[in-house]
Amino acid sequence: MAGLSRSFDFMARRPWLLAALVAIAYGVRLNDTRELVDAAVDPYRMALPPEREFLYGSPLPLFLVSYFIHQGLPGMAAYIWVQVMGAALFLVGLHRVVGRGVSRETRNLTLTVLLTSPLLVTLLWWIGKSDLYLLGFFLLLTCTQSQASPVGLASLMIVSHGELATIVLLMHGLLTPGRWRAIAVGLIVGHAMLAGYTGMLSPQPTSRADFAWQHAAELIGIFAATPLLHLVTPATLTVIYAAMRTLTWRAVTVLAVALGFAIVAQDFTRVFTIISTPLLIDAARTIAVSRPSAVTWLWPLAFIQVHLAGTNLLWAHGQDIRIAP
Amino acid sequence: MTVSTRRWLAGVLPSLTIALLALWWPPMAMLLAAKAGLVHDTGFPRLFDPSTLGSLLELMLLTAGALLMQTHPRDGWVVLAWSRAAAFLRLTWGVFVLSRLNGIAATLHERVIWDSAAMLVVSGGLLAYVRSEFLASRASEDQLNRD
Repeated sequence: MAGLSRSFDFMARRPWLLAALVAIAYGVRLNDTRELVDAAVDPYRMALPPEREFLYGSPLPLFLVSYFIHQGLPGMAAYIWVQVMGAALFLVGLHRVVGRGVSRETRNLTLTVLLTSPLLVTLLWWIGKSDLYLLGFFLLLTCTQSQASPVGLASLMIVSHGELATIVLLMHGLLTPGRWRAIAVGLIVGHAMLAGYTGMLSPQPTSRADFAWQHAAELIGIFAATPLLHLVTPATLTVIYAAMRTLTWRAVTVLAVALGFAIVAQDFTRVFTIISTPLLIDAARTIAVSRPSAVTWLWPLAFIQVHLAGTNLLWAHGQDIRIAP
Repeated sequence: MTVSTRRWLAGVLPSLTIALLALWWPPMAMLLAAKAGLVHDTGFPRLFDPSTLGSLLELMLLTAGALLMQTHPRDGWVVLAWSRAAAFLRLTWGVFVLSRLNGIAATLHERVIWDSAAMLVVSGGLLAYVRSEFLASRASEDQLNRD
């Protein structure tokens, strides 16, 4: 028993080894590879089918891939390098948020708790979705002391993913009321840049919001068909927050908003996880500080959830809905 | 501009440099691979032409400067200033080669020359503007060492 406890403890204190093992065992999934490369050849000309036009709502990764393609890199190499840059940005942000002012041991335990949440699968299985840029800029925004940087970071979030970034920023404003001015300016600048870009395209691309509005009935129908499957992740997180006594009215509002938007999104769990990331990080930090011994036995959850997700037992997601021509 | 603006620019300078390096290294690696014959070459098959060497030198100085800024900000600033000198040499060489090929008037109509010159002026100006912040960091380091 002591040997088992020691081996569990060994893994709990090495979050990156845990993440690497999960990635090796279950792999990573690339999304929108061909579409992003096709659109990046000329980002000012509509080149995607209607059901993929939402990619024009994420101009930052699109223009980065375009830049590298025009600098002579093959399309796939450009796509992969842009994802590597996103991963590096996310890791820097995570390091600053989780690692500042705490011991190395607490930081590692916090990361291990985070890896047992759906955030790990969201990052490993939705590569190419600009989530790494969105969350990377958001994490840097949450820990910057400067008055000017949040404006730039919020704008970069908007041009990474217009819709999700807007919701995440509004939720951050709700959880951290003192930063409204910078967030508001960032929202305005970011949306002006986004509108400036999409305004140049002809015809106007279908946005994610248009898509959700047009297919709201079908998307709600998917949720209504398997409500328990969809609610596993939100319910689990709510129980954890309640147990950690971090369930304030602001946290409840964020969870409710995340649930509401996730229901009308194609990727239910991904959208829910991204919107509730600020709460997720807080909960991970609280668990690592208040109950470090519990983390020792928690890490197998990282494997279990990915395994169940792989068999579609515990991973709610929408299905491709083609827009009728 | 105010002191707080200068302080903010000095704070984001390392991040800006790293972002620039992430954008610049892959095309440079591709160019070097092409010139070394590792991938299909589309142009001038020489690894050691002065233009490539100039870019490589500038890029290596930028990389060294960005790394040094994490631990020794003042030394990092000095290396970044040298990278501007390398950029100036590269631009001079570009003007020299193009004017030999096309004449001075045609060279002055090349957008790439004006882009490079503008970037050099902006980056050099930014470095000069934040210089006092990095000198101050060295002074505080020295003070800490004495204490």
